[in-house]
Amino acid sequence: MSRPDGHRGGAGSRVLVIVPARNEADSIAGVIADIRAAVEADIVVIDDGSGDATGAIALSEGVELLRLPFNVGIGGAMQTGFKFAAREGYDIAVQTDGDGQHDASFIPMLLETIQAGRCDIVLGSRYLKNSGYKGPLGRRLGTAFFSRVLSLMLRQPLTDATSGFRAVNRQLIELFADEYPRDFPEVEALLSTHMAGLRVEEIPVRMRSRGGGRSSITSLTSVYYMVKVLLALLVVRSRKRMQRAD
Amino acid sequence: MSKIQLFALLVSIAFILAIFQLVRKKKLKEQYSLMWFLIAAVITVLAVWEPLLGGISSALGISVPSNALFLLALLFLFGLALHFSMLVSRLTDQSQFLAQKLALLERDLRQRESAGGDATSTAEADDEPA
Repeated sequence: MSRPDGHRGGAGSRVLVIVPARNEADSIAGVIADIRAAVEADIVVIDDGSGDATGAIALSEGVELLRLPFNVGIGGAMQTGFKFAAREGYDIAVQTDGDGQHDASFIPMLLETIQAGRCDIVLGSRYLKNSGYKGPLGRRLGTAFFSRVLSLMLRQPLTDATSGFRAVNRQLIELFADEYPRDFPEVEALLSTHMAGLRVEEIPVRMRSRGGGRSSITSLTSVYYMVKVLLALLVVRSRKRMQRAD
Repeated sequence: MSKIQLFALLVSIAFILAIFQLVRKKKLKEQYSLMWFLIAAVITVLAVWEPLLGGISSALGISVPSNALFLLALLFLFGLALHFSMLVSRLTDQSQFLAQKLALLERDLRQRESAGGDATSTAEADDEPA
């Protein structure tokens, strides 16, 4: 079980790996094993209203479990993890998907980047180096589009703005515990980070094709994704202007 | 009083009674019923006092009074739909907050139960004077 007063993860920082999972009973045990093999950290599985044994498997694996009574979306699930991390006093929170597409062996590199203090959030990018990632074309185009938009807004080159494989420091844990987008949160959260005057960095990672489960993004929702995120970006920017005017 | 006026009057009276009944049965909160009572009152006034609608429509530059009525009704319904969208947004936030709180509390309860022996001994130790 967890030891809230224990120091792990190297360099004296307490690390929580947040694993949002919805109906990932097939892959969740493997994901937990991979994380444990890669890093010494507490693990919390956020069961986002699964109808299968995801939560039960996580409990039997001996990790922390936060079970949402109904589906609140990836953003709402991640925020639950940030609230837990904020309350329990963790220094770094890592986000990795419950479907096994993120290669846990890169988590130590994410942690080192945060611990080096060069940035407040680090993204694991599939495209920074030629990682051999071959996702669906539509997804790659969407990622390229949002990476371009965000690169312009943040005035820094970004290659994988939609990556859900990332780590944040204590400051962002507290910020995200307080406010985090409900669905399709990845891109919007980066702009919020920038608006709060915090720094983003990318490191190259490898990603696997999906194990069990399906992506939360189907072709039907991709149009909604684009419009919603663009609108959200506009809103976040205009809010900042309002604050400046005050 | 013309037939249509009588009809409109009857409808608005039935409307008021229906709203009153819903509030009595607690199926409608008072705060929302007020708005509906107001609407029913407006319909009643418009039905009984015919020149009012004609005056409004000519003031708006609308030649046919019934069109003025449709316009006002449509604007009202737009406003109402927007109001309900705002309410749903707030309820969504609230339900998400509760779901997250429940997840955290359930975890705390589970941990407390699994560490049951420890918790009891700690409590007993606390009872003893230092």
